[in-house]
This record gives sequence, structure tokens and C-alpha cells, in this order.
Amino acid sequence: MPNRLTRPLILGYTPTPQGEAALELAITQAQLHNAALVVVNVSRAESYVDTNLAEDSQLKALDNILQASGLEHEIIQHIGRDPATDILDIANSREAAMIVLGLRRRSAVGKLLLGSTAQSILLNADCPVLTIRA
Amino acid sequence: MNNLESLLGGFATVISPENLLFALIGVTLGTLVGVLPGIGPAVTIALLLPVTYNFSDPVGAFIMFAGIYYGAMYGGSTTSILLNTPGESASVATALEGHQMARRGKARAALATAAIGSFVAGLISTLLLAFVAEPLGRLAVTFRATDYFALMVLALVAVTALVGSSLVRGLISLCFGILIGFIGLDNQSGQARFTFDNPALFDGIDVVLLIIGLFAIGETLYVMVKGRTRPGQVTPLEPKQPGTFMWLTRSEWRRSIPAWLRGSAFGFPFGVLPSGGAELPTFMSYTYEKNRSKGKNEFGSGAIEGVAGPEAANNASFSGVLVPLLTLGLPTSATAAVLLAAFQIFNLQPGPQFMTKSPDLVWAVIASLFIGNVLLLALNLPLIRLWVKVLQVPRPVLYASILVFASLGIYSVSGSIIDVMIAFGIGIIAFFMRQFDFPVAPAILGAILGPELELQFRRALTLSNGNLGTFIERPLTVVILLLALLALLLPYLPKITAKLRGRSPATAGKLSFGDED
Amino acid sequence: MHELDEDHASTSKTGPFIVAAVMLVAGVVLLFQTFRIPGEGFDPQGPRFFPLCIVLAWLVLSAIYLSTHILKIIRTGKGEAAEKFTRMVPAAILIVALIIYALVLDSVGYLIATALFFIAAARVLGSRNWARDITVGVLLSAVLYFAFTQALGVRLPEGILGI
Repeated sequence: MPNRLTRPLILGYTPTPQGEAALELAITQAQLHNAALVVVNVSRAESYVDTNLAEDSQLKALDNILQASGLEHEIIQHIGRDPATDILDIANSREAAMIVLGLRRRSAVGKLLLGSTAQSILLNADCPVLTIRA
Repeated sequence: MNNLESLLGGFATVISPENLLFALIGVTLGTLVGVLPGIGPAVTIALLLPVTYNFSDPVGAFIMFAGIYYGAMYGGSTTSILLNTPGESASVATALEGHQMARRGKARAALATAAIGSFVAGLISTLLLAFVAEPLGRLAVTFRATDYFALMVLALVAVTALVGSSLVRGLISLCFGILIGFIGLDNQSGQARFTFDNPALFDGIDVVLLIIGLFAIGETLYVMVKGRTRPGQVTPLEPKQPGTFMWLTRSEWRRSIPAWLRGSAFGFPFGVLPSGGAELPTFMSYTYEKNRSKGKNEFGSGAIEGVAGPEAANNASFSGVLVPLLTLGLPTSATAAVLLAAFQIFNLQPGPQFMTKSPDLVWAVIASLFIGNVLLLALNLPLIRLWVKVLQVPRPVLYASILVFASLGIYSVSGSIIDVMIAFGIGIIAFFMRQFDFPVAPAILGAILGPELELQFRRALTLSNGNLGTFIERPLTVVILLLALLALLLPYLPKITAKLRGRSPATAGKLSFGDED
Repeated sequence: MHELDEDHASTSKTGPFIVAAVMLVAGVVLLFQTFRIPGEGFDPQGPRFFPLCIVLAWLVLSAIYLSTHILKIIRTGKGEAAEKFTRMVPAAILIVALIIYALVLDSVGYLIATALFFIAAARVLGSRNWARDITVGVLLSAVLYFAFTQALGVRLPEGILGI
């Protein structure tokens, strides 16, 4: 069985409150298990303004935080059709130990209309998924 | 003063709760759509033309269109400042300094100087319009058919030469438009032309169909094929600073006011001249402000004059464009062409007769410009965050909605499926035009002015009993035709001067501007 | 898998050839059509003169376009301006959707036709969210239908719903 310590944690990150909360959690967990942290920022980029896609300054800030944490880390930014699939693909290819996600508070109607990346990941992941609400 | 009386009379006609509501709707819709990159005021007005079909009163419609225009311009500036993506071509200059200001935490100041500057410029230029319209109208009555012919040649040539990056392609586009204008029964001889023996084409192709097809449908197909642009994030507004009036500090006011005046000085005359839209004066203003402030060195990192000047020029040019439109019936930009089509829907034909036969209407139009302007300022500053939310709507939804609106517009114009198909066909052609860099504005102007051009040509010949020399008899005609020739050569001036100075002409490009207004 | 904007200053060798060919063919067709306009000769005051001038100008300009293209290829190896043709299949599907929309409008009625069209168009344009598309499609169609028929008095097809 592969050494748990060499399998990375995957963080689904967005520059939002829930993303920041998940970042904090992911760093703590990675430090705990002495694992590498792969931060994935994915968005459909469907609109002209997308608050989920990190800008250069935000990516830099992210990098600084990761450097300070002392963890082995990698930042991947990606624009794709389906963020859930993209995150799962990365998790599978890296044989991730765990996926960490931030959840946004949604009303019942919101959940219906807007779909849920988190739900899709939760139901389809091969590894444990850790979530935290903003 | 007589003009002032007439203007006040215009206000009396226009100010009614109904009309104010229309202005409100216009400004709102215009801003919402203007915020979207690539959709300019011309398209917005075209999409909303069918809404006005059943209006009994053209004033209501026009006041809405004025609101739409101002709203669209302001929406474009908002996107430029906050997102660094110009809402449309005339906002490119604003994006240069405006976005830098936003990044340095001065977004509110940038937005304020744009809005207030637009208002001031609109005020000044509408006043100019009010005082210039009547004398010009009287002058226009003395024009003969040859003069009109020459003027239209000037307009068509100037717009074609200045828009797009290749004269040949612009001229092809122009011919395309004129050819479309030929379709149908010839007005003077009653003969069917280019109808391919199909009676459905006897009425020709409605201008509204053409514009919606070319702009709305063509644009959507183009956006679709272009792929995804990388989305950005909206630069946040800094918190309101104390000691500011309407978001501007005293020194910002001091710097902006002269820039607004200078911008208006650029905007109005160039709006009057056939220059294809608001781009030319906007860029001239920007370049002037930049050169003027060489000592201050702030350009490139957010100089407020770089926003104040171009925005004022932008707005002033709209009133300028209305001068030839109202007095001569001559559209000098794509937006003007759409407005002309709007007038024709109400069976109004702008031109010298227009001023003398329905002066009340003209003054009402001018008064509605003021009102649209005021509403723009009142509404848009406080509601910025709302407009920007539009940008968060996913693009598939946005463009599918535009297609729905476009189809609705076409159907309500004619009620005929064939016309809808024709419009789609035109949209496909527009798409290929965009792909191969053929400008679209000359096509629209060609389609609208082509028939008029021919009419004046034949009328001139009838008056002179078939003597072609009549076109060089009147000195006015000759002067205008020479100006047209000059306009043809003007964009190539950089190249010509480069050759004359012995530099390589390859480095000097052709002057060119976008064609979305 | 990045689908970001391509560079805009792109050129093509074959595209402009096809464009020039189409334009020249169209020009010849139009020339014939010009001759079919009833009338004798080409009296400048008559209906045939102006079209003739414009069609001739069109042919000349198309020829110039073709030759500049050829010259550019010879001189620089690159042809005239032409943007890349990506995603043509979805674009074609969109056009087909538009055509179908126009055809069924009268029979099915505005409300249903528009709602269906919206959903199809949004999907083709890249949307992946059925719930959102269906909701917006139905709402938008309903709002437009009632606004235009009731408030603005524009006639829109009732179709099978008979509203």
C-alpha cells in the first residue's frame, strides 16, 4: 500500500470566503499528515466577470501563504467545462489522499437552480472529501 | 431669443410622466446592454426599435433612444474602468487611464468624472445643437440636388475611409450595402431590381432587418466562434472619501472641468463631420490631453484628464451627429443610421423640410436629449454595482437572450418568416465579414444612403436635362466632392508623410477606428 | 484544454481565396441581374445606371482584393486578414436552430418555440446547466410574450397553446 505521506491533498480553491476557509483547513490537514498540497482553481469562466477565477494578484497572495506554510505545494489554474470533473481528474491522476472543498451557503432554490460542483465531487470521488462551510 | 423660446416649448412637450418613464427605461436598458463588451448603442437601439412600433407618439420613442444611447456609452465606460475591457470601441481611451485609476483605488473618481463629464458635455453640445440647428436648417434648404449628392458621397467615403483597417475591404462593404439597398422596386421607374423574380423581395429589405441581422446575429455568431475570453474580476470600488462632492475631490474637480470643456470642443465638431462615430474625437481628446500634460507624467498610471476628456468628447459627439441627421437627413455613423431608420418608422423624414414643417418635434427631440442626460447622471453613479452584476450572467444565457430579442424584433417588424430567414442570412454574411475583417458600418450606411444617393443623382440630372457636367457647376458641390477625395486620402497620411520623409512606410500604419458606433 | 482567445492578428491563405471567388461569382450574377432590369441602354437617369456602376465597382474591388492577397502571399508568405475558424460545428448547429425556430414559430406558437430555442441556443453556446436554462427560457419567453402582446399590442403566434 503506498505510503500515505506521499499522496497529496487536493484543494478546490476559489478566491471567496468559502475558498479561503477551505485553504486554511487544507493547510492544517496537509501539515498534520506531512503531505503535499495541490491547489486547484477551476472555473467554467462562462461570464465576463467570474469571481471564482483567481487573478494574478490573488494567485501571488496564495503562493505567499503556501510558501509561509512550509508545505510542498503546487498551484494549478484551469478553465474548463465542468469544474467537478476537472478536480476529480486531477485527484485521480495524483492518487490524492483527500480532497478539501469549501461550501457556500445556499437556499433550497439556489441549490436547484445553480447546480453544485461540491455535490458532484462528493458523490463521485474515490478518496475522502473534507468540506467546510464558509 | 427665439431659439430659447422654442427650446422651452420643446421641454413643455417632452416633460410628462410617461416620457420620463421612457427615458428611465432607455437609460437603464442602455446601460445594462452597454456594459456588455461588443454590444454598442447602435445594436441596442436596433434591438429595441420594434418595441416602439406601436407608440403613437415619436417623442416617447426618441426620448427612449436618447436614454439608450447615453446609457450604452456610460455602460461601456464603466466596463472599461472597472474591468479593463472596453464596453465598446469608443471606450478604449477611457480604459487606458480609467482602469489605472481604478487599480490605484480611485475607481469612484474615474466613474464620477466619466459620468459628470458626459453630463456636462451633453449639456454643452445639446445647447450648441439647439442654436445651430435652425440656421443650418435654413442653409440646408438652399442646397441643390448636386450638393446633397456630394454630401452623401462625402459621408460614405469618409466613414469608409476611417473605419476598419483596409480601404479596399471598406469599399467592398460599402458596395455590399448599396447593392442591398437596390433590392426591390425602383422608386422612380417602378422597375424591379435584383429581385430574382421573387415578389417577396419587391419591398426590398427593411433597414431594421439589416441592422439586426448584421449586428445582433452576426455578433453572436462571431462571439461564439471566437471562443472564450478569459474572464476578469471587477476592480472593487474604494470606500467614499470624506471631503468629496459627488465622489470627486476639489483638485479632481479642478482638473476635470477644463478637460471636460476641451473634450466637448473635440467631440461636437467631429460628431458633425462624417467620421464614423465617437471614436475619432475620443482618441483625439486622449492624445491631446496626454501631450498637454507632458510635464506631469501621470499618464499611464491614472491621470484623471485621460478619462475626463475622452468621455466628454464621446458624449458631445452624439449631439454633433444629430446636426447633420436632423438638418440634412444625413447619418454620419452607424448609430445615426439606426436613428434615421427609427424616424422613418414614424413616417418622419429628417432633413431641411423637417425643421420647417415640424419644428415642435425637433425641439422636443433636443429637449429629450437634455432629459436623458440628466437621468443618466442621476441614475448611474449610485447604481454601479447593479450594472456590473450583468457581467456575471453567464455568456450563453446573455447571447441566447440577444438572439431571442433579435428574432422577436425581426418578426414584429414584418410578421413574415421569409424576412426572418433573410435576416439570419444577413447575420451569417456579417459573421464572415467579421472573420475576414470587413467592416460592417459602411454596409449599413451604404444600404441607407444608397437609395438617397441615387435619387439625388438622378434628380440632379433631370434638373439639368441630362447634363453630367452639372456636378461641377456649383462651387459648393465641387468643394464637397474635393473634401470627399481628401477624406479618402486622409487615413493614408501617416504612410504618405513617412514616404516623403524617407522612412519605411511599412512602419506607419493606416489610421483606423472601430465601427461599432 | 485551455480554450482562451486566439491571437487576433491572424491571417489565412485559403480563406481569402474562397472569399474572393465567392465575391467574383456574386458579382457576375449581379451583373446579369442588372441586365435583366427592364430598360434600354444605360441612361444615367434610368434604373440601370447606378446598379451597373456599383456592380462594376464591386467586381473591380474584388479583383483588387484577390490580387493584394496573392501579392501578400508572394511577398511575406502570409495572406490577408482572416481569423481562425474554430468551433464551426456549434456555430452551424446554432444557425440550424435559428432556422428551425423560424419555421415552427407559427405552428407551435411563440411561447413554446422561443422557450425551446432559448434552451437549445444556450446549450450550443456552452451552457451546461439545464435547470437554469429551462427556467430562464420559460420565464423570458413568457415575459416577452405577454409584454409584447398585452402591453405593446404586437401580434405574436399563438400556436397550439391558444393563449
